[in-house]
Amino acid sequence: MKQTLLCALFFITLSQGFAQKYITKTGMLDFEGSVEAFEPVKATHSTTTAILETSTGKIAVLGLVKGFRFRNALMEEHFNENYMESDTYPKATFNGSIEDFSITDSALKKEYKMQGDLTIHGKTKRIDALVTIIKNGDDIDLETDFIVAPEDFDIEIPNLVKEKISENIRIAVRFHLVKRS
Amino acid sequence: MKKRNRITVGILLFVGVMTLIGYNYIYQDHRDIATEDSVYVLTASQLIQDFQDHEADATQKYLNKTITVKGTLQHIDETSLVIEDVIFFALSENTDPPTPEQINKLIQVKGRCIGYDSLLEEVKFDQASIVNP
Repeated sequence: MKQTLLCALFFITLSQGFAQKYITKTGMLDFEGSVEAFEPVKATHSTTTAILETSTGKIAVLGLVKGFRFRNALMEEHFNENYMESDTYPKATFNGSIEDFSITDSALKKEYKMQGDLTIHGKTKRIDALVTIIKNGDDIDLETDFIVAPEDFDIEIPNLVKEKISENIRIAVRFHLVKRS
Repeated sequence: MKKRNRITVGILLFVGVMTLIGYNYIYQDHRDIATEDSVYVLTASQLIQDFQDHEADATQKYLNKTITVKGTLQHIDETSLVIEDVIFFALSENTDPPTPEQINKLIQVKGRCIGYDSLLEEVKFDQASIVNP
């Protein structure tokens, strides 16, 4: 009896010690701040790192700012040098949690509330968004999008180009998360 | 009449050249990392050591630079590869990943350093291509 109890205790401790993590190193972020009738202001980031802890619903995301690719090389240069100042602030991060997340939920596709701290350009802002979790075999697909404003992160847009860049930047997120072995 | 013609041609030529210069500036080409010379050539362990010793200094030194990294190939998929569990490369669009036979063998990869991933403790590169020794 005592042995069984000890054995059970051992396995409980073991399973807690190995919190299950799902990760990606090639997560997609789409950034769009276009204004109609002007050249599109958009970029794609395809090397975002994300870690989802399925036991707690905690999520950590890191996008290296230099990884945003624009079609227009000059726009990419200005994005890095004038707006994001990526030499000084090379990282954009998100630390948050998915409310009532459950990996054992039987639904293949389910929407959850997510909140957390988004840090860009050295400034942090709280973000609330809806996130869609899709079970894809043994993997998890995570999709969300939200709107941010450059001024929330102390990013100044000069008057000269103000009308060509939207005040609301849409960030769309697509992660294909794989269980870390 | 002749003089005025010459002036008109001159002005048109000037406007044309300025437009061309302006256009080439606004629509300049992206960097071509594969044909750029590497600023640094070093081993995977040297590179990760630099970032782990002093991240800010290493970031300033390596960020946005074209670098060739030598080390043992550990992992491949369709669009990326990992050297020694510490250096991640996103391959450039027209680069084929190495074959599975090359896993655990020495490899040299050139790419643009985009920074240090503190979540997974890896240095990340994009626009990478395999360097033939």
